[in-house]
Amino acid sequence: MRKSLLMKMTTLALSLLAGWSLAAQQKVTVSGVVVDDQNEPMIAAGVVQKGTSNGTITDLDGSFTLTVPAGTVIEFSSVGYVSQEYVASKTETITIKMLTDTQMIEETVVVGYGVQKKSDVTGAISQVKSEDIQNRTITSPESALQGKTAGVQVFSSSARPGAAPAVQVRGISSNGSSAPLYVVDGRITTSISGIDPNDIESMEVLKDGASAAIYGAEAGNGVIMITTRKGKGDGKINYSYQLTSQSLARVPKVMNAEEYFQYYVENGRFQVADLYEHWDFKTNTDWIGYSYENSLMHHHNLSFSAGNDRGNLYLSGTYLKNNGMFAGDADVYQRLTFMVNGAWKFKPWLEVQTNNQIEYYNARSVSEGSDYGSAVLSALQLDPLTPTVYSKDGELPQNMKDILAQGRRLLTDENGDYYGVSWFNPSENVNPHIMRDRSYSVMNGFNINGSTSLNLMPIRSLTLTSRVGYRFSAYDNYGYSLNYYVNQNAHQESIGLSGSSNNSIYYQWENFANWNQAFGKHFVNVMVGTSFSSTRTYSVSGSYSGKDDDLGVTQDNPLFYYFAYHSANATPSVYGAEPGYARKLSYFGRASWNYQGKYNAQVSFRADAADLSVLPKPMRWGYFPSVSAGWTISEERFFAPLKNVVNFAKLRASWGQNGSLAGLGGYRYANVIANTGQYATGNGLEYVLGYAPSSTGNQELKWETSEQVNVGLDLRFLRDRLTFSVDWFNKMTKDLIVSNITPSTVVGVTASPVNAGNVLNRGFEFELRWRDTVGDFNYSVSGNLSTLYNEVTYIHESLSDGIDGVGVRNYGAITRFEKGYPAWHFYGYDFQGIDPTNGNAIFKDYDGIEGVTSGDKIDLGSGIPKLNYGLTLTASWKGIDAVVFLTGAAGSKIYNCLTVVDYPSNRLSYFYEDRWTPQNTTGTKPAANAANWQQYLTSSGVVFDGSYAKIKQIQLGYTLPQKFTRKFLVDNLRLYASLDDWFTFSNYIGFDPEITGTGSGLGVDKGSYPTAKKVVFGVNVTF
Amino acid sequence: MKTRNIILSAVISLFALSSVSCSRMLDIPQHGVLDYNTFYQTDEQALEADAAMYLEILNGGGLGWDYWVRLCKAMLTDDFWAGGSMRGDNNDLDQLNEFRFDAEQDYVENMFTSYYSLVYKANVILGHVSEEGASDIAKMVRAEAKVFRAYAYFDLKTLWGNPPLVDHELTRTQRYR
Repeated sequence: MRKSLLMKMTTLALSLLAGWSLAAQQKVTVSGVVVDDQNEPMIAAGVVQKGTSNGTITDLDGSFTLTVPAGTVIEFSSVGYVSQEYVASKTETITIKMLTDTQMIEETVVVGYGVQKKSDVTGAISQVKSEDIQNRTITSPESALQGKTAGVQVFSSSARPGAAPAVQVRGISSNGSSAPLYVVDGRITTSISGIDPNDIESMEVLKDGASAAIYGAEAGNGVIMITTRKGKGDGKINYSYQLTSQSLARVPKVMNAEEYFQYYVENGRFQVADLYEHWDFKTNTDWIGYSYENSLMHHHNLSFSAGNDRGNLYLSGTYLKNNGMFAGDADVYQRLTFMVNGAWKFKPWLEVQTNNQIEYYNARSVSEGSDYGSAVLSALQLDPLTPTVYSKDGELPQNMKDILAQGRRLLTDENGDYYGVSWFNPSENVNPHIMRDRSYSVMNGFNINGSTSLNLMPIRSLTLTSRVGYRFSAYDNYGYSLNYYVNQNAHQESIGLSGSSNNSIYYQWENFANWNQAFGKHFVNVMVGTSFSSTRTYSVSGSYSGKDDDLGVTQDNPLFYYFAYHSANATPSVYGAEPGYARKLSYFGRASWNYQGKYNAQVSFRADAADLSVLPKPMRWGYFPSVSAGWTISEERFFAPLKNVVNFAKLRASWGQNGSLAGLGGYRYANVIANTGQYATGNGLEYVLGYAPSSTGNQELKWETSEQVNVGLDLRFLRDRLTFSVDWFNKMTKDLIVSNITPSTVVGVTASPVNAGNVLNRGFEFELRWRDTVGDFNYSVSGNLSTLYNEVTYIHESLSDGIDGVGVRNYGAITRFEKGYPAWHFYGYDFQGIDPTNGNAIFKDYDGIEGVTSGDKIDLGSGIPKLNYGLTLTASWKGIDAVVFLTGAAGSKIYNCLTVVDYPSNRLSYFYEDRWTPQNTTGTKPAANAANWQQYLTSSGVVFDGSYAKIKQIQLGYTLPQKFTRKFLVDNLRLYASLDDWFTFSNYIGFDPEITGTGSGLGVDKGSYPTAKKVVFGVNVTF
Repeated sequence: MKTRNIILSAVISLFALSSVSCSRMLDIPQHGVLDYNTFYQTDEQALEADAAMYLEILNGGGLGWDYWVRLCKAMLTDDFWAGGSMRGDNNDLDQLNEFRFDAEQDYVENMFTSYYSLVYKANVILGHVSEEGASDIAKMVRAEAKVFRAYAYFDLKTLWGNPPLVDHELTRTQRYR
């Protein structure tokens, strides 16, 4: 109140002065047009007599008129442009050209519980801005991080519609989950796939220990902060539509009909007589072509945005429909999202903000990523001698007639034609269309999440914030599986029904205070706060299955495939209906000091307490400190001579500790007695329950801790046109929670998890960017490169052989978490070549024992790339803009698990070419009938180089001239076309070197849904 | 001014309240388990521990001793042949048939750990169901534990020759030797 009185007095005094001086001086009228660097008129640019309130703004044509005393200065300003001044000496008409501010406008970076100026940052924080996220075909925000920032690796285990990738920041730090923490507008969450990428303003990756330490116990794998769009400007309505056509990008080569038959005759499985009996000499089915088709994806987005200095509003709605490449509609993802962000300053000292996301989704998918029963794998393994369908009016082969004669169902397509059943291959991977049609399942779900905060500023230097974050999430599954018969490994006698319903409620409540104060040239910020979060999950699931000849439901009609219509003999089972809770309490604080923009230092501390299901009560608290400092060398006096070339140079270093929740939960540390079953005694049905200790117990279990040192250098050259930064980090994760350890086999009970493992991650990260303008032509080149060295440096003594990861069918484990090697490295026999006398594979003997034994298995490489890089080129000229984005990885390997020996399944042509035969004794691949195929499939013979480079986006856009579109009330209309994921450079023989397993199966290819190449057309309209 | 002060004091008290009341919410009890320190006291609990030994043979290792022990021993005889849809379909059993397995083979390893699971359960009973002042039922349960332990060692000795002797629940340091 006192303030506004002062304001009123000042204005009055000024106007009096102005009026007095006006009376004394001559006035001139300056009028004209203000244009921007593209020579387009600038609307609403400020035109003010400097130092006074005498001013105006430019109108729709960019023109203005202002009357000022002669000799005074007129200032022209607009956000994002360099202010210009003009001395008004006489009445005239002028044109003022405003140039965009190519200098780093003092950008701010979102850090935990606050905001920092980019020049004050002492940790390693990477930013991905909305221009890198816009207009891409990604459906999930995590995908936007790939290739745009150093130190972040994005792995996909599947590219099916709706799949979200796994993100790793600075390597794998754990034998459990390595997922980073996501924070959306202050709300902590583990899943961000429901947020449409077009609604994101920026994503910050807190990579080093010090910046992530403020999040304490969950931040060990890095923190990704997402800021959603907020309203700004006069009121803009934006609509965009993107149409994408998807098709299979890389097709692996498999054997054709003749090659297949010849191969398996050599193998001894078939005889030439079988060929005459079961093949028509014409069929040569392309199963991959039959399983995949071109498909469309639609993406609509409508948003409303407005804001002023008192408040803002942003409303957005998006509809996404992605019908996947797999033939038919069994892989579809539909999503509807809404975003409502608003803020208002009710009083000068009270502000309320709310950010909310509402999502509804619906998804269906086909089976993949498994050794047994995967539709994606079946397209590679089915023999080409079997046709895709047999006409219902034609002659069926004998094996199919026999099935019908037994009264079993053969699945048909929409015309009634029977799907082909192979006589040759009795494996569980059958005709892909049978695998798609034999069951139906759909998932529906919704999420309502967001955060609302109250900011109080009782005095200018203090801000108190109370923030509530929440997530209400629910999804349900419904499915049925049909009775059908294909072969003895793929059949079902009755109809099975299943359903489940799950919900979870999460809320967090945080209260923190930020105090900023300047003491002369020193500037200090102190933040303290507390946080509490709670999750409740609840799910119920059930199923019904028929027995023997009982159908399972009362009528064989999809309208009857529900629990209520089960047949009399069908048996139900029910699971769940048990609420689960997880809670956390934390205290945290941070202090930072800044001296004249030259020296920065920051220290932070967080204490986290876990609930009883995670850690024993005495070990509940974890403490995570950090310290960091920065020195802006370019502000020093001795640096002045270099300043024209190097505008900015900053050295920074940090050390911090974070924790991780991986491997915890479920009371696994507890030593309790649990039920082991029931045992019938006596003559009647008397049961006695058995009870025994469930595990050895470990009351000393504690948090996994990650300690990281980071040193970085930021440089800007040539008027900020060239920016370069380099970081070196060393991250040691200790006390990994290791479960399923096998203490000596004589203990007799499972061991509780212990803290017994260390992983080291070390590497360099480089980011380089060049931006320049030549007349009307703007262009930029940005690249990033990161190296990673990963090694397990310690693991519990009883696990000196390492922890086994994934295996191939029942041939044995192929990945291991073992001391001295990268996490989950590949492990198998060392393939030396082929024995020219009999075509068997030769393996090097390492343990001196005759024959091939488990001691001959060695390290075969790792699925973790040693090098990741990305390159983005942008250019724009008048209304045309273009982007080329490339990303790649090098130094990784892929374990190819697409081959089986149990059945005569089709194999990649790689194994057919140059195989040993009596005519080709110098062959490099084993003979079709070699005796040790199973060992070959767990050896370096099937480990391939996984390096690749992909041109992920080539986009060309054109913005229609504003003068033309404004006639139709359209402020901005941009049309664009793009080729996404179009070119892949790689030697890998499978579908896609980018899509392999994740976690303990990193780099293992078991046939996952491949990435599609896309042709995109899109339009962005702004009103 | 007044409104500002009221809201300010409300917020500060919220801060204090949130930190105090929430720490008790972290003590979430576990479902479906019994306390280790108070078990093995009553007759009924002794019988339940006893049943656990029978269940070990019935369900141990997921498929029970019928699969892991009896089948494995049977494969070593000439009464049984591995079979399968073709050679290599059941590689582990083929190995047992032909005596070309090593110590790490699935069946052999699971058999070994199954025996020691039974020994563990017997040791737990003998260590916790006290001998002094034992009721008839407790005495019976202790005797059965000794029988099961002896049965396991009988097989261990005949198949492996010289297995380690474990006659009590191993402590934390003893476990990893």
